[in-house]
Amino acid sequence: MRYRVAIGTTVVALIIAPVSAAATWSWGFNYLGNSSSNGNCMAPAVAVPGAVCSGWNYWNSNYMDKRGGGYVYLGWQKDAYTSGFIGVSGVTQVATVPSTVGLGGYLKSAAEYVSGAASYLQTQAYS
Amino acid sequence: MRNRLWRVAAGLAIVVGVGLFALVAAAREDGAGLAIETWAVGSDGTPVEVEGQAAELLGRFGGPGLDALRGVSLMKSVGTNGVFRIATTSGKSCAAVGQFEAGRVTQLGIVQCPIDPSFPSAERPALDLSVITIAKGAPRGITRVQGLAADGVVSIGLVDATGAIAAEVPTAGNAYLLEDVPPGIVGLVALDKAGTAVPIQGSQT
Repeated sequence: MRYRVAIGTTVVALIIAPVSAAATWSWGFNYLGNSSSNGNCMAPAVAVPGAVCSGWNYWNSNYMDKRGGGYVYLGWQKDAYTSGFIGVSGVTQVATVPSTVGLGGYLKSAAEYVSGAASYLQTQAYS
Repeated sequence: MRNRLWRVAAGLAIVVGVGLFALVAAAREDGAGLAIETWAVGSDGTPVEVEGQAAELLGRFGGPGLDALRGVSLMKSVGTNGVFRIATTSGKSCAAVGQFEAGRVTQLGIVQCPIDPSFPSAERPALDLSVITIAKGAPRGITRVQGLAADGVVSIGLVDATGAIAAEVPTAGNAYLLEDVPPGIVGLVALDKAGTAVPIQGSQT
């Protein structure tokens, strides 16, 4: 009986562990242009429409695989008035960490259209 | 008759002038205006090891057009903050900023691997990782200036809202890093020794 409980506890722990270890948010591949929105970004710090954002979380980093198009921002949103980004253009891969753009804590990962053609890209956030 | 000829000549002059301005503007926009014949990064930097979070972050990069990442080199540092160049098997260069200690990169904050246009090139004379922030009651502005620069780019110009170059950050060892940026900077330009300036991709606020 004691062994069955131990085995059962181990199985439950193994099932739960991957879920609680790291959360991932992903958007795309899709076109990010001046009319794009997934309804998660907060204006005026991030354009709405014209941007896609993750939900709130204690994210550690984000990533973007941009396959073409114009100029976009990748970064983080703290609230409706506070954001930090880097700007990227062309075909590129890029990743950022919140503290590097001066933010931390409970955040949204944000990808924002700035100018030029809509960009075909995928973006992800990791906790 | 003479008046008509003058009008035609004046019209042609305006058309030619506008066309020339557009050509010059286009050339400056794509970096062709810099007096740089061979696009290269001459500095080797100091090879560093990568571990922990930094290795995990770099693990997301690669694939078509980039292939695998190879060595990481420290190109410039201020205290324990560094600007790094990352070589790839495709020959293209990536740039990163982060913290290092005793020859080991422990934390990376921004990594970028441009594929097209690649760095260094006329279209991308600098691989910029500068930070743009938005705070309540303040316009978008550049708050940290950092990245890699091609041979021949002698400084990075900090452009204010009037379009003037308010200050310059000298490049050294193909890198630049300025942690305390004056307020009101809205763009960056790469400057050659002749003082020719071209906008840096990704730095417009």
